[in-house]
Amino acid sequence: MKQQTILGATLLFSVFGFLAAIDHEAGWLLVILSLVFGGVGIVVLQALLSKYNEIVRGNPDVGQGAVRQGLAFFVPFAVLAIVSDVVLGWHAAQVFFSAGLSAIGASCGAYLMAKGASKIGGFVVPMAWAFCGSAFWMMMTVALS
Amino acid sequence: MNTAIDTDTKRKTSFIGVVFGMMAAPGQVLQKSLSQISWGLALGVSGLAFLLFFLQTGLDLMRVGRMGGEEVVLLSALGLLFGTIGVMLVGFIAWAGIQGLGHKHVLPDVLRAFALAYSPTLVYAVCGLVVNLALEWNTAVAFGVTGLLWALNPISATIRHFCEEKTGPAVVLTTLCGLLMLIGWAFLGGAQ
Repeated sequence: MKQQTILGATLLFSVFGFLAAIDHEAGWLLVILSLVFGGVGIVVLQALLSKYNEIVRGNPDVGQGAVRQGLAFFVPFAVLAIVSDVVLGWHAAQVFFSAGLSAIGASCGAYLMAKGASKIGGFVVPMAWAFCGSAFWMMMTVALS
Repeated sequence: MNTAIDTDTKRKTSFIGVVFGMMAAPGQVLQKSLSQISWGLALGVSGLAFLLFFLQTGLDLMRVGRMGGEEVVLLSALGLLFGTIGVMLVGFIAWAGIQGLGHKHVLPDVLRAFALAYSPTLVYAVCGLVVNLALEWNTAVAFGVTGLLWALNPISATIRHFCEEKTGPAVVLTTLCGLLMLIGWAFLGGAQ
């Protein structure tokens, strides 16, 4: 997987780490965790797509394209979360993060399905990744509060 | 008589089908069914979604004594206007952006697709209202804002559809439209 994609994911996820850190005593830990989660999470997604999609195994560029498209559609959620927190004063980054992860899953799925992937590999797997990621982040923020 | 019932059922099924279709696979709905979807249905989805969303905001504020019954009704009516006229204005901005990027599409198609993109907001608003009334929880942010955010996926699919699947313009326009709707709700309903 290209380093730029991993770096992009790390930076985008860290936005939510910083926003969550505002309300937490263990804020620095959440920031580090979000950086690790971004990098590792996106590698895991790529590995899952490769494992469950023949089309990705045959051509890794398809998997990378799907992940890149998914990450691109995570950007609006990061921007909205920053505006919501800084301008509107709502500390609800978790809501934005969960919806954003689902957008990554759905966009990956749309990309793969357009390339001829199966429903399970192309749609269910990235959405399951998004669900598990969202649950993991929610548990982390609660556990560290 | 039976024919009337069948037609009614078909109409209901198609409304529900379009709403859940836009949630799960917006690209397919836009490709296959957009031309068959009426203005009434499209604006009905966004109008009802924001009416119920603003109603929940009003109910939350009424529960803490910051709003009376009449104001809740007025806020709901404002939600209906926001969900129809507001959504059309934001759709117009998106259409202008799409045109500016060199993709020529008919304005009514973009506006109808935009209104339909608020299908997830409608589903969340209905669920939120049930929870609000049954359990007396404050649901405007938990369900309403979540529904608003979930609409970003169909919005991005809509913009992608009209931009020949180009990701960059879709991300920029989705962010802009999301910001306009979020800030619009915050100033009209959420920040009161």
